[in-house]
Order: sequence, then C-alpha cells, then structure tokens
Amino acid sequence: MGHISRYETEVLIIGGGATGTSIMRDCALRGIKCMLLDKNDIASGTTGRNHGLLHSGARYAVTDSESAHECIQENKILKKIASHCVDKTDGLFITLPEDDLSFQSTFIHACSSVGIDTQKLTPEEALKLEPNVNPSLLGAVKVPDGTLDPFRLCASNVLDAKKYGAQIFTYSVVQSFIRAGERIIGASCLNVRTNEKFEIFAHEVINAAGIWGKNICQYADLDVQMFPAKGSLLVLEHRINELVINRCRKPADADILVPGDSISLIGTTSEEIDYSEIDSLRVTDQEVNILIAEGAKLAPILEKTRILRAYAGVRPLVDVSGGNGRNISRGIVLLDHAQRDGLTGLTSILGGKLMTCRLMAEMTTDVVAKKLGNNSPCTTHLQPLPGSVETADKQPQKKTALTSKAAAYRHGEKAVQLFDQSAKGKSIVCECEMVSVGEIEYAIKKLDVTNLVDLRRRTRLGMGSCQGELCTYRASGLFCEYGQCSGHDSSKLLIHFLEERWKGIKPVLFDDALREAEFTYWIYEGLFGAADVTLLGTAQNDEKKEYYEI
Amino acid sequence: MKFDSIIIGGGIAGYTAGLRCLEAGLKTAIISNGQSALHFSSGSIDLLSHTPTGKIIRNPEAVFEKFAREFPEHPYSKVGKEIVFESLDWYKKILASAGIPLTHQENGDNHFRITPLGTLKSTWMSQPYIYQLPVRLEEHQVQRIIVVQIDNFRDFNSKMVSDNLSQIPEFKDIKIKNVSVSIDGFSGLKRNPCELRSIDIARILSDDHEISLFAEKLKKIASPDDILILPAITGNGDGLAVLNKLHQLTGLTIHEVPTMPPSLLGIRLEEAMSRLFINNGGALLKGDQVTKGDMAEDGDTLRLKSIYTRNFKEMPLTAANFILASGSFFSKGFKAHYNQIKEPVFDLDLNTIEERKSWHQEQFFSQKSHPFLSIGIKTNTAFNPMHKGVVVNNLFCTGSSLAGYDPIAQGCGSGVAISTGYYSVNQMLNNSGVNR
Ligand SMILES: Cc1cc2nc3c(=O)[nH]c(=O)nc-3n(C[C@H](O)[C@H](O)[C@H](O)COP(=O)(O)OP(=O)(O)OC[C@H]3O[C@@H](n4cnc5c(N)ncnc54)[C@H](O)[C@@H]3O)c2cc1C
Ligand SMILES: Cc1cc2nc3c(=O)[nH]c(=O)nc-3n(C[C@H](O)[C@H](O)[C@H](O)COP(=O)(O)OP(=O)(O)OC[C@H]3O[C@@H](n4cnc5c(N)ncnc54)[C@H](O)[C@@H]3O)c2cc1C
Repeated sequence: MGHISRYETEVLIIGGGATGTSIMRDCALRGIKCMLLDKNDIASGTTGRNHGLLHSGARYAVTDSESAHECIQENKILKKIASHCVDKTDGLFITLPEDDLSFQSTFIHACSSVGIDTQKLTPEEALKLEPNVNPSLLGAVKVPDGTLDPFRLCASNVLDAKKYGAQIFTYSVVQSFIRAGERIIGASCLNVRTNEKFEIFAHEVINAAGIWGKNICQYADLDVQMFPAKGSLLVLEHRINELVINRCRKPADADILVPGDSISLIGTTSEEIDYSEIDSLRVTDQEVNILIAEGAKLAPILEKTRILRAYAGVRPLVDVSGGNGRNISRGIVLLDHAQRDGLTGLTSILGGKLMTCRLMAEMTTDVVAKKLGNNSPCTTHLQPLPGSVETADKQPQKKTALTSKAAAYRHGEKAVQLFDQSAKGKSIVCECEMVSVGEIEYAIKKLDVTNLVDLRRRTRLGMGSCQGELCTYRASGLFCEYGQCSGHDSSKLLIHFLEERWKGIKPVLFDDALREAEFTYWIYEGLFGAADVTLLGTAQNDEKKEYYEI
Repeated sequence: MKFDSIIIGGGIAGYTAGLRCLEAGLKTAIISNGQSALHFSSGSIDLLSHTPTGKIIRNPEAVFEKFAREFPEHPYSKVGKEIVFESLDWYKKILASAGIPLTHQENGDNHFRITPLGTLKSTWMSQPYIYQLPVRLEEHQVQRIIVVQIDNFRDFNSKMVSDNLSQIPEFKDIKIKNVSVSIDGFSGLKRNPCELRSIDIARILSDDHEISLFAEKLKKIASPDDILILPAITGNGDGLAVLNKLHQLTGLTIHEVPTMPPSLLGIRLEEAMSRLFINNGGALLKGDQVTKGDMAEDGDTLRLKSIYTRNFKEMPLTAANFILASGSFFSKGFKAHYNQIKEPVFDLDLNTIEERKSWHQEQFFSQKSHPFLSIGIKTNTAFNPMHKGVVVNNLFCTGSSLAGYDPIAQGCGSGVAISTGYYSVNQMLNNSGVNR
C-alpha cells in the first residue's frame, strides 16, 4: 500500500470529449507522446449530450459570420475524414406563417457571403423532399447541414491515436496539479473505479475539460469565468425527418429537429444555470412542454410520436472580458496560460462546438507543439479516421438488415473483419440496432468499454425504440465472458444501466414511456428481484429485518 | 349479441371471473386484447409478502385480520379473509384439473423462489418445479445447487444466478456450481442457434428423443439431493408434460426460473385457463378491444347497458353484468396522458395523483415503491366503480385495474387478481339487479 503509480509523457490531455480526443489524435499524428484522462467515459460530457448537428454554418450566417465560416470549413473536412460519423442529410430552413418571409433573402445573402451553398425551395418542393415538414410553410432554403455522431467520432479519434502510441485512462479524474514554481509539471489523479491514486508527469498539460475547465483552472489557481447554459432535448422513437429542419429566423428555443440513425432529436431549450448545478441537470416538465409544442411546428407528426427519453447538456460559454464586466464568447477560446497568466505548462481550450473539435485541436496542438519544439504540420484535415477510410465517398447506410453492415457503418469494415465470425459472434444481441456478440466482444476488448452505458455509447446497443429493455440483460452476460466480470458484478452493471436510463425517462414518464417503465419494473424487479442485488454483501443486507406478526 | 356476463380483459383476473361465471351457469364472454401480464410473470401466485409500510409478512393467513384492520383500503380488506382463501383453494382445484398442480407450504407460510438474478422473492403458491425455500431461510435443507447454463442461450445467465446466490448469508456454506449443457437439437437448425428464445427451445425439447438426450446430460452433472436450476425452456402449448418427463427420466429436483420474456411459466397458466374457459362453453373473443360503453341512469346510480368493440364496430354487446379486468398501464387498462391518467373505456374515476413528477421515485430500484403502481379505479366495497362520482351498479372491477395496492412492493399481484375476480362474481350473483 501507499505505492503510487507514476507515468511520464509529453502532453497530458484532460477531458475525453470531442475536443480532447481530437487533440489526442492530432498530437499522436505529429509524433507527440500523449496521454488522455477522463473522469468518466469518453464522450460522456457535453459531447454526448447535444444535438449532433453538423452545422453548415447557416444558423450563424446572419448573427455570427466568424462561427459560420468555421462551420462550413469544418463541415467539408469532416464529411471527408469522418464520413462514417456523418450523415449528409442536408438541412431545411423553413419559414412559417408566423415568421417574416423577408428574412429569407437576408439569410441567403449572409450564407453566400461565407461560402455556404443555398437552394431556395417552394413549399411544394420542400414537402416533396421532406414529407413530414409543416405543410403550412411559406418557403424553405436547403443548406448542406448534416448530422455528426459524437460517440463514433470520439471512439475513432482514440482508436487512431492509440495506433500511434497514445494512451487513454477513462474513469480517472484529475484532482490537482503538480507544480514546480510557476510551472505545471503534472497532475495527481484518481481512478474512480479502483480508487487507486496515480500521477502523470508531462511537459505540457492541456485543459480540454469543457464546462469543467473552470475547475481545472482553479486547480492551477487561475480564474476563468464560465457561464453554463443548459439545453434540453427529447429523443423521438423513430426517425420522423430525413433532413435537418430549422426555422428561418434568428436562432431561438426548440427550433431544430435533427434526424440521427433510427431516431430524431428535438431541441433545444436554453437556460442559464448556476455553475454548481452542472453535474445535476434536470429536464423540467415545462421544458418538455415547450419542446413538444415548438417541435410540432417544424413537423406536426412530432406531437403523435412517442418520446423515448429526455436529456440535457450545458454549453461551455466563456467570459473573455478578462474580469472587467461580462463578455461571453460563443466561439472557440484558446488560453495560453503562459502568456495570459505567466504560468507555463498549461493551455486551455474551451467553448466552441462539437463540429469544430478538429479545428480546436489543430489550434491547440499548434501552440503546444511549438513549445515542445515539434515542427510537424497538422494532418488531421487530410487523413481519414479509421472507419472512414473504406466508406469514404459512399453514402452511409441507414439501418440495414445486416449486422455486419450496421457494424461497418459504426466501426469501419477493417474493424468488422476482426469480429468473431462464428455463429456465436454473428448472433444478434440488440435487434433494434443490430448489435452482434462479435461487436460487443470487440467493444469490450478494444474500445475501453467498462460498463453497459459505455457499450451503449460505442455500439448504440439499447439506443433504439426498446431502450435496452431486454438486450442489456443479454449484453451484461457477455461482460462475464469477455470482461472478466463476476456474475454479481455483471448484474450490478445491468442495474446501473437501468438507473441511468431512468434519469432520461423520468421527465417524459407518460404515454408509452410509462407503459414501458411499468413493464421494465415488472421484469427486473417483480420477476428478477433486481433491487436486492445491490444490497447483497453490504451491511444493509444484514440489518435486522422487520416482520409483521400478530 | 347478448350475454349474461361480459368480462373485459383476459389476464388472470378476467379468466378467474370468467371461469366462475361459467360454473354458475351464466352465458359468458371474455373480450381480450393482446398479451396479458401473465406472459411476463413468474407463474407463481403471490399472496402477500409485505405490508404497505414495508414490513415483511411470512404467514399471510396468520396476520390477515390485523392487516385488514390496519389497511382497510387494500382490496383484500374488502374481500375478507374467508373469501380470499376460498378463492385460492378454488383456483388450485381448477388449475389441477387443467394439469397444473399448484402447491403451497402446509403451515400457510410464504416461500421464496430463486429468481433469474439469484435473488429471492417471496410468493405463496407455485408450480411443481419451483423449489420452495422456507421464508425462515435459516431452516433450509439445501445441500448443493447446480445452475445449468444452456450453451449459446443468451436469455438466461447462470453465473448471475450462482454468484448472487452465493452472497446470501444463509447459503455461505453450501456448494453452488455452474455447469454448461448443450442441446443437440441446436445444431442443424436453419437459423442461428445462438439467437434462440425460450419458446424456440421449448419447440425443440418437445421431441422425445431430444428430451431424453438432454436428460442423460443432466443426470451426469447432478444427483437427486441437489437443486438443479434450469431456465424455463419447456412447455409451450403442452403445459408441464415435457418437464414431467424430464423429471421422470432424471429423478432430479428441478427448479425452473423464468427467462427473459416470454416467460413460459406464466404462459402455461394462461393457456390452461383459456383452454378450460373454452371447453366449459365460454365465448373467448381474442384480439378484440372494448372501445366504449352505453350507460343509463338507474335510480341514483348508473347501469352499463352495452359495450362496443373494435371488431363489432357499431353492433352493441349487451349483458346483465360486466366485469372490468383490463389490467394497468402495460395492458392499456389505463392511459397516461401528459398531465393526467385516465381509464380509457368508460372514463371511470381513479385515485389519481395530480403532478406528474409525483408519479415516480427518483431511483428506479428504490426501497420505496413507485406511486404510479398504486394508481387505479376507485370502488365501493362491492368493487363497483364510479363515473363522475356516480356508482355503476352492474360493473365490477378486478385485478390490477383496482386502486389501493402495489402488486410488486406488497407481493400480491396474482392473489388480488384471483380473489377479486372470484369475489366480483359472488357480488354479481348477489346483485339484486341480476335479471337473467
Ligand atoms: C444542448 C446542446 C446542444 C448542442 N448542439 C450542438 C450541435 O448540434 N452541434 C455542435 O457542433 N455543437 C453542439 N453543442 C456544443 C457541443 O456539444 C460542445 O461544444 C462540445 O461537445 C464540447 O466538447 P468538449 O470536448 O470541449 O467538452 P466535453 O464533451 O464536456 O468534454 C469534457 C470532458 O472533460 C472531462 N472532465 C471534466 N473534469 C475532469 C477532471 N477533473 N478530470 C478528468 N476529466 C475531466 C469530462 O468528464 C468530459 O468528458 C451543443 C451543446 C449543447 C449543450
Ligand atoms: C409485465 C408484468 C409482469 C407481471 N408479473 C407478475 C408476477 O410475476 N407475479 C404476480 O403476482 N403479478 C405479476 N404481475 C402483476 C399483475 O398486475 C397481476 O399479477 C395480474 O397478472 C394482473 O392480472 P389482470 O388480469 O388484472 O391484468 P392483465 O394480466 O394485465 O390483463 C389485462 C388484459 O386485458 C386486456 N385489455 C385491456 N384493455 C382492454 C379492452 N379495452 N378491451 C379488451 N381487452 C382489454 C389486455 O390486453 C390484457 O390481456 C405482472 C404485471 C405485469 C404488467
């Protein structure tokens, strides 16, 4: 006991979201040794709790041309290097009777001035392209919006970076920095699963902790003000739209409907919250109301569609005023703390968007590489991610009948060739999302999956209409086989998954969601007695039981 | 169409009422839409395992009077001890005549059944191949437990059973073993043998040769003193016949646990009741849904004159008496709208909860039960419901459509269904309004 493991690397990256994993890949491709830490799983922060919209930039064209410009540039790059994470759906900006139709020309003009292609459509043309769009629309503009799967993007970044020697530690939280005078030389960390402490020493540390970046700065006694803005979304049972649908007006609440694999997402609300609330986000009844009402204006069918779950994320907005007043940036904020605060060894990359993660990584790695004396140029915009290589230029398939196709879409064909090809390996565990035993084995062994929620993020198991009702039981058994879990631990994984799922169901516990919840409760508690599993082996289990006697 | 009694819903409550009506010589129809909760149930009859305040009940019979005094809103308290036990006796006889003998502890105690997660659930009456562990667990006689993993069958995991079981303090000193067994019939199938559900395996094992090969394998891994835990993979359409044969061939002490749905244990009960109902002359309208009813004033009460269904459209179905056994949310006996919960056929009065956020607990598996599970129809002591405050005098509510209890937390789902189904028919027969 008392022994603390120590690691050494050139760059330590804090945060395994889109930003952190993109930096990890960028460093690795430039030949910089790096390690990435996340207190949870990859893509479990804001990266896994957004709209997944691959903006064309059109949304910002009128109000923020710099963001619009970044978006269209990255939009084009990601379509090439991350084709397996992108669905080139295109997007519509529709004008409804309550909107001002004259905004359309302002919009089209602003788009073309930053290089975003537009195509003006009549209501009939729009309805033909998107039969579920509100038929009372007055007009529509088509833009090259798309969707971006953040889970797949992060996993591919990590997979590629590991190929070049980068290392990742999930479920490892940075607790403090190790300093040598005015220099950060490493971090003290804790593995929250094993409760083991360890230290990582690095020449440069990068803070890519998103909204938690303020805390990280505090560990270095630096003051960075962040303003968390909560946004809530609803997941609909099936894909009700093929194109992204936006309103052609200035950005507002609940005005984007995004399709994604087998579902659609309506969002988002926007509410400034206190920083102390960022770890306990709650979707309120009122937000659910607004989302349904506003969403139905985009596609009236939404009102009759079952809602699977609700979730919320926080936009990591940074105050860039430097302490005098309030100047909140919605853009990318790169803080070189050596320049800004006289503290060397630490760089923060905050703000931005999911879809600008590669650009943010390039900007950050440029700064850090220079300090390390590395002159290799950035190549992340040229080299396709694993999984994108073989499918590049092909239209990504939607849900297909064949598991291997679904898996190839998720991980790339090269990876699928590694899957167990026996009857067992090919057998399907999750019918909604066509996840096979072989894919789960691959995820557990190769993709740093430690529980069923991680597995869900890597494979979409349990993300479809059944929400993992039955397939997670089957999958939890596989953790015994491939993840060296005991039967007791794997049943706890199952319960952990169902508790996590409950968080998203509670806000929408009516209609079929309530029916499903009753069913799930009957199966797992009534039939399987799950609640007792967590008590087994604990003191509570031995507590004196209270009997009812005469 | 005209009947003496019409029952809405074909779960355990509906069939109980239906079979009782036939016994009383009434011309009876059951209208049932979709699968009942039995398809997902343990196939054991839960009587009463906990009080609404969470105390453990070991012998429901012994504490019944005290319980009825303390919890007068519970359906059992309205039915009364005598009828509750009379109904269970009756149910036992009926099921035995249909080839499913149910047994309980002689002293009236509950017993534990081992669940698919290796935990213990208290129940009262079980099918023959459920090993009844004493609720006074320290008195158990178990020496060794063998848990059978069927090769390539994903809907049952033996390690979860064995690893959790071995953490139960009373089982500290007994041997618990996992053994894998293959079923020969899996090879040579056209479909992937690793994707079979329990119901598919039941089809394979209904073959005499297959079951004897399987029996040979089991004999090698266990002896009669062991408890052999098997997933429920027999008896789709043939009740207990295959299990009886397996028992004969091996002489082993088999304990069946339900698998991921469908649960063959529950299906067995439904099939047995449904066969009896048809054989005894009942009219079973399966796959049809009651959509609405016609009520008329009858003094200061209401009377249900007729009902309409999806299939019969505008043709009314009339009866002297009606029984509502339409289950809860899962069976669509209730519908939850954004801000309120409704009974969808007659808009009967519910003991509903105003705010949606109070329908549930924070944690899914909390020690406290979810309030939505106790939501149900308000009734008088004869189980007549109310529509906008006025009693409907010839409609009787049963089973999980009733308010005032939580079937899971109190471990009483099937017991309430049987006793209220039985009692409602008594009330109906007593009903001065009965004019056949
Ligand atoms: C509602 C909503 C909708 C959005 N929609 C879109 C959209 O459609 N398109 C788009 O491009 N962008 C969108 N965004 C923005 C986008 O989601 C974020 O900008 C982006 O995901 C931020 O990624 P990140 O990697 O910087 O941060 P995060 O994903 O939050 O990653 C930070 C990581 O750091 C980890 N961490 C924190 N503290 C520590 C510690 N002490 N030790 C170790 N690890 C730590 C966290 O666990 C987390 O995983 C949306 C945002 C919101 C809130
Ligand atoms: C998934 C699940 C598992 C359960 N497992 C157990 C268990 O293991 N042990 C236990 O004791 N209890 C269990 N229960 C509890 C159950 O509530 C009772 O035990 C009992 O099965 C309830 O029987 P019921 O006849 O009242 O309702 P149900 O079994 O729900 O039957 C109601 C029937 O009515 C039909 N119906 C509904 N509306 C209409 C209409 N308008 N027209 C026509 N038909 C209609 C439905 O389709 C259904 O077939 C379970 C419940 C559920 C939901």
